Amino acid sequence: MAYLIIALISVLLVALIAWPLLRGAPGEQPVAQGDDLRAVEEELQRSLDAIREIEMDHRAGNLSDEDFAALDREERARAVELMRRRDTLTAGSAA
Amino acid sequence: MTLVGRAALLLAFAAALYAVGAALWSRRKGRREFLASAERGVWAVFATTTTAVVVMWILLLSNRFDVADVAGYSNITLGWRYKITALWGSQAGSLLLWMWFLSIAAVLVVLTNRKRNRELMPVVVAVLMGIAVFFTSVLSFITSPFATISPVPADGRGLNPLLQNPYMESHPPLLYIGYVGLSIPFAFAIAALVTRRLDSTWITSIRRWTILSWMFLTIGIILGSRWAYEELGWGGYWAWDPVENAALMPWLVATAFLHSVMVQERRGMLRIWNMVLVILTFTLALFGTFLTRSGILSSVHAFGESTLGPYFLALIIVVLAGSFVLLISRLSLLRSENSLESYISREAIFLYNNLLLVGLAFAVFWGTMFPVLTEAVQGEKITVGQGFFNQVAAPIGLALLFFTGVGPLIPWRKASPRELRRRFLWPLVVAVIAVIPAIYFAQEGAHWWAALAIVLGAFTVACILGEYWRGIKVRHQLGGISWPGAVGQLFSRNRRRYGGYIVHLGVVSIIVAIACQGAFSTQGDLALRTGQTGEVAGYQFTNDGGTRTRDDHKMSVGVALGVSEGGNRFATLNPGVDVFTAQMQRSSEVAVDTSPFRDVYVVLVGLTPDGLARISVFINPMMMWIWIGGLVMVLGSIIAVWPSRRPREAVVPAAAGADGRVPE
Amino acid sequence: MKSRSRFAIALTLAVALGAWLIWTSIGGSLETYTSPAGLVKTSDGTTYRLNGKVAPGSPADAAERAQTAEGLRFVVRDKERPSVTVPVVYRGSVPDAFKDDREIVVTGRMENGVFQADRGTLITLCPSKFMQEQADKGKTMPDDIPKGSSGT
Repeated sequence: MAYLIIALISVLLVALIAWPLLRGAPGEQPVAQGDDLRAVEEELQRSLDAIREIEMDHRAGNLSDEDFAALDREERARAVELMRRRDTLTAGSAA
Repeated sequence: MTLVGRAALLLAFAAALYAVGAALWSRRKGRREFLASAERGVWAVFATTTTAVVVMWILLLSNRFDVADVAGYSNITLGWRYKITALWGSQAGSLLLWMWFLSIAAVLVVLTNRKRNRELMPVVVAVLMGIAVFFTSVLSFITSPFATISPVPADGRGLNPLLQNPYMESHPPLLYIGYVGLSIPFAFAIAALVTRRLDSTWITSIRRWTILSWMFLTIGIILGSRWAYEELGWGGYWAWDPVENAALMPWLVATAFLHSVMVQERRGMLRIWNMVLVILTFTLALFGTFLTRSGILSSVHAFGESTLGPYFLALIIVVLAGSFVLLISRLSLLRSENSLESYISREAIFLYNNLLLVGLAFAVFWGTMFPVLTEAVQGEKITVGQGFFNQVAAPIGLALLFFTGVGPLIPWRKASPRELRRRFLWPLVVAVIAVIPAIYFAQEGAHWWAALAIVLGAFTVACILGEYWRGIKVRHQLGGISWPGAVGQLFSRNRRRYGGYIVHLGVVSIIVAIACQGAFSTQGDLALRTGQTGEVAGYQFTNDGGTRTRDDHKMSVGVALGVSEGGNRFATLNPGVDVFTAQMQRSSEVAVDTSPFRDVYVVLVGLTPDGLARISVFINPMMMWIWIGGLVMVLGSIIAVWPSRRPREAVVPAAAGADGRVPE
Repeated sequence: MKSRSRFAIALTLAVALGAWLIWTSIGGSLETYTSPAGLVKTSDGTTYRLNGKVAPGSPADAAERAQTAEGLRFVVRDKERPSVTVPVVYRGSVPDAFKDDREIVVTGRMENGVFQADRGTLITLCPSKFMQEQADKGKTMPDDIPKGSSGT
């Protein structure tokens, strides 16, 4: 009995694992590019969050005007750069 | 049944081995289908390990005493709940639990990354399954939970009564979830190094995992202390025992990582350092398992010396050496994007906090391993007492407390002195006010560091509350939002920051409570006949009479103690001692009267037939705040990891693109 | 570049400070781990952590005795050489697991052939299983559970 169960489980597992191989190459897209795009988008999102946080910190009085100006300028430059990269990537994948 | 269990573990081993191979193979061109196959291998490992765990539970519940671990950790009279938890009473069983959690975590990683990180995933799967190969092979070939014994005993030996309580039911699994969770940041870090995709993608992918694992480690450590406090009956909760240190070290380094990772996200700095921290954290998690299981150090919790030590040591060495060789080969890719501009900036504070945390972890490591080192060098085992740990931890803890308060108020990059003065005015006022009670305590002959902890604690709380106040106020004024609405928005827009501050409040509570307990706790022994009254530290204890009972498996004695202060009787405590007949094992039942300012903690040492009760009394100030602080920390972490629905309306980018003042 | 070297100096200072802290703290708290066999030779003022087993004949009311002025008196024997023993005087709390044949660790000093234990330092190496006990009684052991070197 026990042996039967074990044999059954083993066969099932092998089938489960081997299935993608038998079915042949699946439709996985050019993977790296999707990952790149996602990376840029996440970084962009974080940059936008940072801009918002700097803004809030400034209004809350946590940042002096000069400090705010410098930080804000730098962070916005980064966001724009990231947006540019995102646009290049999406244009590339669309083409 | 045992055969099914053994077979399941062997199959898990085979599947894990296959998954490592297939995942690595899939990195070759045109072999992508092998990644899908490897991911199914992860599922197979999960299914088979789950089978093994279920089989073990069936064996425990059906009293199969032909299985060594069932006979050793369970018996007929044991309640079903403890039969379930007896799984992690044994060495093999606890490794099985580790493995099970690992398989669950691996499946979750596969599930959440079906459409993401496709380039990282082969290596992530290979690393996680590589760890699984180690554990399944240990479970299959070295210490199997399904080993049988003959002759078959009529009854098992039962679970150690010390472990029969809710804290011990939950403490090991929680700690293990924490340990296992830390293997995922590690897997992603290695994957990033191998694939050279060292942008911040991997960091984003593991952020939640790290906070969650850290949270479970925190709960595990706190429940462990709570267990020691309530069960071991020596009035304390932490003894710098190797097993406790084993859990503390990965926690400290993981805490450092949680902070320094923000520097990398925001400023692109500390990239090598973060890699080192991730690798160290995971190694220390393995090391923790190794310490508790190897018998290399004698501990209160000595789990019986075992043969597993060398295997774990080999794994740790392979992991450390492999990771660092890999890291060194990628150093050129990990250059910092920015440099430190000022020593008074957020990133600098994070750096100090990191140095302190890692330094403390190093000191704890040093102190824990000292006997092993001296034995190797001098041939004489020299241990360091608790005094060492306390002496090192006190100043570092206080410095950390200080930075906890200061950090959030100091802006990134640099701070102008004028701003700082304005920002710290109120916290400093609060700290100065707090000096008054601190002086009062210091006069009572207390340690200076406890007084300092109170002052710094007040300062830090003022800093944090100030942050909340400013954040809420600006949101309230800005959009005309109601006050509660502003609070909600504060948390929902920036969960990690404001959830993190809540964690900080919990930390302050714990550090201040530890300092007070350490400095102001008093202990006294009393010997009271029925009706007599004795006094410890201003509290009077009256012996109201003892009781004796016995049933099938234990004899119990107890005494009713009236506790009063200044003639006002406020509690009756019933400390007792159980003696379990099966093993002739004593188990003290301590009695505690808790209030916000102090615990009255009473242990019954003995009760003579003529009614003389000997009791030990501990007055522990502020103890409650350790447990409350722990709860607050967990609450804060939950807020920090709670998924937020991001408002995708990007107000800022439009402005950034349009107003023309952007590029340099 | 200048800021970099300044940073390096600051870091070195921090590490040095940490090392100094560890070094001074460790000095005051060293305890030599020893067994009754290792203790026989000495009677200097060194603090020892004595590790051994409680010799048969320890009082049943150990916890009560440890609270009295005379203290708890018991004998510790060497794990490897049971004939070598050391008498111990101890006051303070006694762990629940304390009894004959249990492995213990206690901190203190040798004075006139008696080990004067520090208050409250008695620790039993409490097994989370009862394997050790079983081995001592010479019952059958599950053969795949490692016995460890100190068991017998």
